[in-house]
Amino acid sequence: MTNCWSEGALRAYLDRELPAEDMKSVAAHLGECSSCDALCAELAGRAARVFALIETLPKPELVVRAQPAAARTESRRWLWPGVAVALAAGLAIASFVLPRKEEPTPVPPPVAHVPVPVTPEVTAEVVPPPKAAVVTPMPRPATVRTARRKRPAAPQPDYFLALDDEPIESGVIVRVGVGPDQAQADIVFDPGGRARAVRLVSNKY
Amino acid sequence: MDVVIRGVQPEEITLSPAEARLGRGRGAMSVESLFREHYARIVSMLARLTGDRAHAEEIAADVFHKLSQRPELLAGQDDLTAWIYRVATNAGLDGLRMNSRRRKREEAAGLDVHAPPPPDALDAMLREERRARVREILGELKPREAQLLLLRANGLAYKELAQTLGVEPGSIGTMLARAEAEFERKFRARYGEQV
Repeated sequence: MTNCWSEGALRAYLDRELPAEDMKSVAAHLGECSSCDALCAELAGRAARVFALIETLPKPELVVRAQPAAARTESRRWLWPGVAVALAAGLAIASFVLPRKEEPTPVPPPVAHVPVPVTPEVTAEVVPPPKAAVVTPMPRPATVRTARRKRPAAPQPDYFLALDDEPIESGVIVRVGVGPDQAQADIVFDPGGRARAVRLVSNKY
Repeated sequence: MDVVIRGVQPEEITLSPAEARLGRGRGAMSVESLFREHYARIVSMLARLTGDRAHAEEIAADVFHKLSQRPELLAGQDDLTAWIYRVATNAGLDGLRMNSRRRKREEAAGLDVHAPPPPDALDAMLREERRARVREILGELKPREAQLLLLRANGLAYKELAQTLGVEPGSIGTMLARAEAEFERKFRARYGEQV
């Protein structure tokens, strides 16, 4: 009967709220002391009965504002400005590059070097933009979901060649004429205006 | 589902810079941080105690409103959390007793304020009667005993319970055992062995 535990300690033991060492000591003591064991059983029974009565009171469902939803809203807020910046950057670069290529050419090509809207049949890797993505009447860009390096060797006509190893989350495709023969090529610009991937467009298109 | 909690939101509590930080001793806490941490928990406790969610929200919002408007109330007090819970529990118990008195007056006057229940609502009536009994006994306990039982039933750990009562975690077991014994004793004294 020595080293008996207090009623409060036994109550905390039932809720597993004692330190680990005390939990072991109480458990060992209950095996030896019938008095404490009986008191512990009494406390456990009373706690269960009182808890059951308190539990008859309905618990209101409290739902706080979901932070993840707010975060999604926050990210959506920056989506369309990002798209607009990407469009502007792509067109600015295209308009900067094309005239420079025209000037040194002794025989200017008859075809104007304007960005060509991407046609739906361009490639399987280009996904159509969402409806809301059309924010300006400019040539419709195609949103690139991913442009992974599928061919590590020489670039194939129908596949984009990534210019770096970073994943491309979004961007715009601008078609330009390259070289004296004005071979058609598609360049993927990211929202920061940086060229991220390129491909040559075969003549069959 | 978005915002379900009604009542005062933290941004509605306007604080001057001097008022915004209160408390001494254990470190100042802002009213807003206290609100965010404890408002829902207090509403839940009071709603179970009073059976009236809207009333519970009013009480909880009023407590934080008082806290924001009268920082001098708390000057020198170390534990704001315990103060908030104590004020909220007392207000909830006051509301509970007021409702109980009104119900008794209405019954004494022979007023039937409730529509006659349909025959199949017997279980619901019995359930509601038991809830009324539990609330009545809670209302007869010491406020901190009622608070302890409600918050424990809501799943708070001993450390959190100690914070809401302003006591050491080591004393929660003793307080809980006494509160449960007192609740059961009063319940049996009033309603026999129907625990």
